[in-house]
Amino acid sequence: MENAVTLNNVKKSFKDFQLDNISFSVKKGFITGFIGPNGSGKTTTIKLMMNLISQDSGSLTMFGRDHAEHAKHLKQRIGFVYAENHFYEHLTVRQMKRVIASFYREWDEELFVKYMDYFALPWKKKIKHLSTGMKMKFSLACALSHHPDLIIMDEPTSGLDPVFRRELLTILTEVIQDENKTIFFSTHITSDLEQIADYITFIHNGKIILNDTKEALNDQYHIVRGANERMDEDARHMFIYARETSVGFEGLTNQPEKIRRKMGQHTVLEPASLEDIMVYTTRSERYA
Amino acid sequence: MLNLLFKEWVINKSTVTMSTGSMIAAIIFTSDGQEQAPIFLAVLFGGLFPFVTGMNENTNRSDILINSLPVGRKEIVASKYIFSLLFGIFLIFVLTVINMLVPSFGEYSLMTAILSVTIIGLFSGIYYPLFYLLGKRFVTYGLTAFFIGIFALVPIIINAGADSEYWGLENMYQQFSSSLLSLIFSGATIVFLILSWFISGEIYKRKQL
Amino acid sequence: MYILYIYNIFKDDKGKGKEVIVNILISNSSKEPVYEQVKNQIKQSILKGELKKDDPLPSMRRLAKELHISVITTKRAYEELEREGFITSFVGKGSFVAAQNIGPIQEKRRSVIERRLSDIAEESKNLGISLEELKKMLDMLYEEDEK
Repeated sequence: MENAVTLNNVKKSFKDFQLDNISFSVKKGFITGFIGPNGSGKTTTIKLMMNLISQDSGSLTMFGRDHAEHAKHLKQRIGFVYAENHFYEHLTVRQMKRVIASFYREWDEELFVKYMDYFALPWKKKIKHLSTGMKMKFSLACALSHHPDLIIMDEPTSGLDPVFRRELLTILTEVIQDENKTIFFSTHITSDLEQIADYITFIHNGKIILNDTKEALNDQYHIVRGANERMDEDARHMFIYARETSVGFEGLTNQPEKIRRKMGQHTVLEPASLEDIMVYTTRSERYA
Repeated sequence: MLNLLFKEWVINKSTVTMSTGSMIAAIIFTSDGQEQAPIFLAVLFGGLFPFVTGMNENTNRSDILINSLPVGRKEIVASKYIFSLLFGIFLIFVLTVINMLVPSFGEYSLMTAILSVTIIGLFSGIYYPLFYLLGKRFVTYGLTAFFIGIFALVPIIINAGADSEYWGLENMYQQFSSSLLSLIFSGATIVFLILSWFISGEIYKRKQL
Repeated sequence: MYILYIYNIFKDDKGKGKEVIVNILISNSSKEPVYEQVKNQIKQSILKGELKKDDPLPSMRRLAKELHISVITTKRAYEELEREGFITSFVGKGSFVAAQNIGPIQEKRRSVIERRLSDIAEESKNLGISLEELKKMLDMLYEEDEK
């Protein structure tokens, strides 16, 4: 399968944090959810992709080309949405749109107007007078109106109400109807991705812990609950993390078959949610 | 490049209007109706502009937006230089037109205008590398330094210079034609500006946003 | 949380307008994986004859969009349906219901039910449950299921 973005042993060090030789790819034609707790390196990774910062070592290619060398050309094909407002506060929506539109060869004014109407955005209001949700909607309208092949979003759903979050997901599934489009979407609200994401990339402490289809994760990762008698040293190794209390244990495993065979009927296995995977893995010493 | 200049125009529209208005007001208030409006005013407001636009970019943290758009960093830097120079030229043009329109202000000199643009260019050439190197802190401290420089140091130097015949520069100046000197000065500034743009570009290219 | 998405597969009946053929209901709280829910419901429709040979199925991407599920999930459902011979996919054209040898399949399933029922009848006799009681139980279970 073709990759829209490929990171190979990318390293980036800061004073108090580093991306530690990360490698993963974003598959073309699909929605990839980029999850991880706050401060795990999501924004840094996205800044690298957008060439806002440069890696210390390793390679980053986009549509098969070096992303820094061909940055200008590649950015024509990228639509971006960031968590924080990055527009000029003193401009009106219309003025800001004009500035942004002037940079894109394929700007589709008709499409932009459609989004403006759909989101009920005011043309004449100054950016600083827009609500968080409206800024996000405006940002999204700008990101989609030049027919980008790759949409990169950093925490687009934080600060949005559930109604619009659902709407956003619908828009994204609409975009992905064209199999040449790719969406890369960072969030710590995993329920957004539970439904529509095809691939999940999980980052923690600057390391990529998982990079697989959501289907595979659903098959593999299970939450196990059972009585303490069932737990022993042998079993503990089959868990990524297990919490033992006086009334029983609860843990995350990626070896459900083994657990089923060993612990048998007196335990309950349920497919783990992305949140379960994120929370338990974060607690695990394995990835500390 | 046109899109970047258009962006500069849109985001600086109010600064441009205010600066121009302030300059015209200053001309009116300081004029005694006899002498030419001092070109110094155009240089002052022209020199102030990079600080104001720099502050504007910093408060909006616009680096992230602009660098996410399909545009190179050297171009971004170039647009800053070009727009500052264009605005300086515009201010000097406005001032010159005022001088021409009011007959009692006497004749204007093309050479003075060119020299004034050169000074604004020189100033931009020093300002931008420092701006890109030091960022936010520079704008605040630089602005203070700019005012101290303009209103305190320059008069002191000029007065001190007048006492000592400008350390012999005046003699030298009189030996050559003033036009020739001005042109050499302008030429040197152009070279300096290109060098400065190159340095600013290199600094900005390495900047981690 | 119980979220339900319903999708209707429409069939264009030679210009006679669109006719609803199949509903797919996805439940997020079901223990059955989503791809299996999709797969089984399409399978049921084919077995019941609601979807006939050569009927086109919606594209994987469209179905994913309508159901608010991932493309990979619908892809997996379609792939399994294809492997089990219920549908055929053509690159660039889409997926269609394959010719079904429904007779033997249904016969086989019937015989499974018959075998299980005979087990139950045996067990009931052993426990002294009358045929009337058993029928009542079955009535209740049948209705419960339909709710």
